[in-house]
Amino acid sequence: MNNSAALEVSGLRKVYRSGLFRRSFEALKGISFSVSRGEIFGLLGPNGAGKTTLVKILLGIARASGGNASLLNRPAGDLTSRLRVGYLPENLRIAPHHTADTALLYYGQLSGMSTREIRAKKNALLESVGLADRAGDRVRKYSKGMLQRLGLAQALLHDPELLVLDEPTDGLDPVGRSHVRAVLNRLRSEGRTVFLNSHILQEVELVCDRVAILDRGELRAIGGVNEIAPQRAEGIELDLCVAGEEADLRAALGERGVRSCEAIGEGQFRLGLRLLDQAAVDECVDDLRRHGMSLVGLTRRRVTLEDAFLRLFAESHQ
Amino acid sequence: MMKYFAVILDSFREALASRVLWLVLAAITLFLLAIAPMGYREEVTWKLGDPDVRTWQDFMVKLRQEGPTDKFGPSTRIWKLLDDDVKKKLSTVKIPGKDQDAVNPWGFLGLLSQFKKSLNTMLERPDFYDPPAWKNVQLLSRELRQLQREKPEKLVGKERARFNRLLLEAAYPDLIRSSPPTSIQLVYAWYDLGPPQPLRGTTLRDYVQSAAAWVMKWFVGAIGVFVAILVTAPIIPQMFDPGSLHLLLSKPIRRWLLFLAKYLGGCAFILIAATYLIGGVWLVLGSRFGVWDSTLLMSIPVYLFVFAIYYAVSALSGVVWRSPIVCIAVSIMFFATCWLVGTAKSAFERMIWDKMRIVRLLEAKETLFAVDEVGIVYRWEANGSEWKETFVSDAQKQIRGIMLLMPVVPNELKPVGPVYDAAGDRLLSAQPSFPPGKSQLCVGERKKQWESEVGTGVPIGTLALLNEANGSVLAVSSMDMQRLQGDPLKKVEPVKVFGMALPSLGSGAFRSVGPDPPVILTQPAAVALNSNTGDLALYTRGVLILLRREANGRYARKAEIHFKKAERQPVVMGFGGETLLVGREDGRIQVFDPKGLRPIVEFRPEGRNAPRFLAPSRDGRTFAAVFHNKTLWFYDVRDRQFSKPKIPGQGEITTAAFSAENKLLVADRGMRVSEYLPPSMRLERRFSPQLGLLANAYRYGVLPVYTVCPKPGELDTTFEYLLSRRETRKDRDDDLSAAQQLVDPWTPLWSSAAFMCIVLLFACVYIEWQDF
Repeated sequence: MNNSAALEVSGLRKVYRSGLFRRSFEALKGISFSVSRGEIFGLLGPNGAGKTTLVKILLGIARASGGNASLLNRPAGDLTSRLRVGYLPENLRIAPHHTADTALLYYGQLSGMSTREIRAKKNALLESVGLADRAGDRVRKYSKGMLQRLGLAQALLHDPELLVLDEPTDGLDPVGRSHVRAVLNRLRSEGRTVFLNSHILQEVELVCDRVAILDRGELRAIGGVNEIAPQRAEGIELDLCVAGEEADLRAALGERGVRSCEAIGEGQFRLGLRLLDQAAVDECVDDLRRHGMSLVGLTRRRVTLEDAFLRLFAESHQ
Repeated sequence: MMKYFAVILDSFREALASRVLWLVLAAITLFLLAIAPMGYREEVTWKLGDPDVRTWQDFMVKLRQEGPTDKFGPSTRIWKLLDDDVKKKLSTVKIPGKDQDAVNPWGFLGLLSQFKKSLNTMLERPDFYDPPAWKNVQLLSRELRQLQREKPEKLVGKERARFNRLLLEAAYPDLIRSSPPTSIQLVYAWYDLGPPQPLRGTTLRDYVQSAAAWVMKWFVGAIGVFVAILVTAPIIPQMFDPGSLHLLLSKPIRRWLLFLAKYLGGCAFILIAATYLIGGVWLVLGSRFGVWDSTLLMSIPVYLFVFAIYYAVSALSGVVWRSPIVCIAVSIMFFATCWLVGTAKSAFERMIWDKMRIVRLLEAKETLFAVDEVGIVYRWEANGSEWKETFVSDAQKQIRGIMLLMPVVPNELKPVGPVYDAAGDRLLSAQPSFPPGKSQLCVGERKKQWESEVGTGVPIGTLALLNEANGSVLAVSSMDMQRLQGDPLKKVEPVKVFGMALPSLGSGAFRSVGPDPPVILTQPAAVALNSNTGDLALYTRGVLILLRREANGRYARKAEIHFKKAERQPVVMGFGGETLLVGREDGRIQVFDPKGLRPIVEFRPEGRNAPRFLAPSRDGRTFAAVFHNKTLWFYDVRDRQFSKPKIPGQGEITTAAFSAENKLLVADRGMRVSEYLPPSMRLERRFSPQLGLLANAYRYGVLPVYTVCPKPGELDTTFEYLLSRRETRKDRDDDLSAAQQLVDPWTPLWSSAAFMCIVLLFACVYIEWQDF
């Protein structure tokens, strides 16, 4: 066991059995990875990939069928480890009789805090998630975004060493997302470990140090965001905006890597190209100029995590 | 633990935020506000109400006929004081049922209302009493005479009206019912509810107390629990909402403790509502009726316990199916199952098992007879190891089916006896008759295989047939004692008057044997004969009489004592040697020295459980006492001590008797009889028959299921026991030897508590091992 790891999973398996004949379904097929302390780690995967099952096992909500999982050097699900973990579930539901104040009091007490400790921290925390002025309102009057922010506040209340966030920006408006990102960045600066489970790949790309891609119970890729995206890129993608005759444009490009082409005005065209390397880009520009085309704009498209994810997903399904 | 306390606290927070709690509390508040103005006022009885006059028509006709005459009396006085309008109408309006051509009931009803009003106004008048008018009226009432002595003209207000009312009652005793000095007027705020009732305050309080107990049992106990289940059913399923459950389970708390905390939260919520309701009712009854009954408050924990059992079932359903509707449905099914099992057990017990219990054992030389609870006689057949019905009369055969359906068989339907007549080697019993009074002796001779034959008539109101010391048969009736001196099979033709048969007066084979004057035995009564000395002890309504058989064969009074009023309760007696035991319904057994009926000492071996049978040994040195809670004790005359023998079946013993060889025969477990040799109590013989199909179904089917099943509906028996400390419930007030229902105070408690623990344990294990 790696003592510096905040979270470690080794050969983790989970088999669900259901129905009259106890038909089995393997949700996790022996996955292994670890998350270091102070790291913001993102878990990606399509629906049914086994992400929620993994989180449930880590928090002791479900039991593993095989393998090992540990949190903060304690077996996953252990009471001591749960004491040091903050969790924001997906589709959080806080009982409607609560206000933000009473909800924090309740969940804080369940996390082993005294009433005095909760009162001392509560206001600053509500301020940081932008709920200070609605602290006395019943949560039934809250929007989904406000509920998410309250959920984040309860997860942070007891100063956990590890935060497990399941879709934390789900339902938030851009301002709300920015709030969450700010909180995550602050946590990173404080050296906290965050385990992020999200569908919104741009969010993950923006805040995570490392990501893992899970598909149908198997780990497809793991590494830094900057490592996974380029390794999945093939060639260079360009967005071009040119002016000139259509016949000249066809003559200049031929069949060379054109992915899209549309006329956007009198004698102007927008093109999407995928070229092999920088030399091919230079050659393409030369040919366009040679055929009398005027180069209005040229943008090199970066290969995002989403692109990498989609490609990986497509490959695995082929 | 603070974490779990927070869960309980959250249940309260949730309840306070829910509309349901406020609706329940509002309903309770409305109910309490509705009953708060109820109360009563004790007032002097003077007004004439509807029920005070037996027939108003008769009274009016009497006044109409006698009032206007010259014969001066109460009617003329009342007629004189009546309003002129009433007098006029009384003379003209036709009275239904009295006047043939009365066709207009409305006219009569109008008159009746006016007549009552006028009469009540008259009762308040100071000049109502005119002594010459009442000079021929017998003033029997002590209260009336007392008021008359105090000078009627000095009486004022309601006292005067009371005096006038008593004068009216004295003048028309056959028409106007006598009334108690004070009545109860039920009130609701400032309004009187109906006419005053002829009750005393203490009687009303007793009524209110029993009504409150009834309401608590059925209204709060049954409907209240159902409402509470409806209210609390969503608590556990709501916990399983994935959005909130996953967050809860991620916290450093144990699942099973989380579940139990939620469960306790539901119970605490109901405790508050129940305390508010029952405490409120207690305050209203106390402040308005003076019934400060603490047992009402004790029903709060009982109610909560009953709820906790049902809620455990509801909570388990919530854990497994996570739906409030299923929780409610399963709770109702559970209630129905408990009710069905309880009803089946009760039906089997009262109709079959209790009725086949042996309550008398009788030896006829080498033959052993047993008598069951309904009076059927059985003979032990050693060859087949069975009790064989014998000596069953035609009357018994006819009413047997009805008796089995009756929850309690009245003594009037059971035969008196049997008794063994050694001289004729036969059994004799007095069979019941309809109508009473034509009771006849049934005779079963050994030579005729004990077949029942109708013989001579028996004295009217025969209470007991006894064997005297010399073996002759004595019939003790409510009016006389008669000895069988002739042929019991001799039939006497009944005397017929106008074609109707008159009751037998005990002629035939029975001859009166005193005493002079006769002892009139009225219920509660008991009889015991000392087979050593021939003395006879009689008990009737608080009087204990000792009769001795004189040389001429007649009985004469030798001693008599009168118990205090509080001790005029039914008794059972055992008489042997130099000792007379008197067992009382409060559980006491008094030991008397028959010479002068001097009380020596008293015991209470089974607490407040009453004795049912007291059987002396042949030498009179030991008595076997069988109590209503089916335990057997011995009384040692020499040591003056009671002891409980260690024999099998204690708690199920129904009767005991000493054999001719001074061995003890004990009946237990329905129809099993064991013969023991005292004092070592070594088992000598056992008469253990094969049980029938129904008895087997009860003993090995219904009873085990019932024992295992929870009994939340029977927890009131535990409650009742804690208050009374009696393990039995009476069906008859005037006969201590009549069967009493055995109340099992602890089984409902432990079986329900065990069931609740098992259900909660199962739910805890399920929730602990389940993936969510």
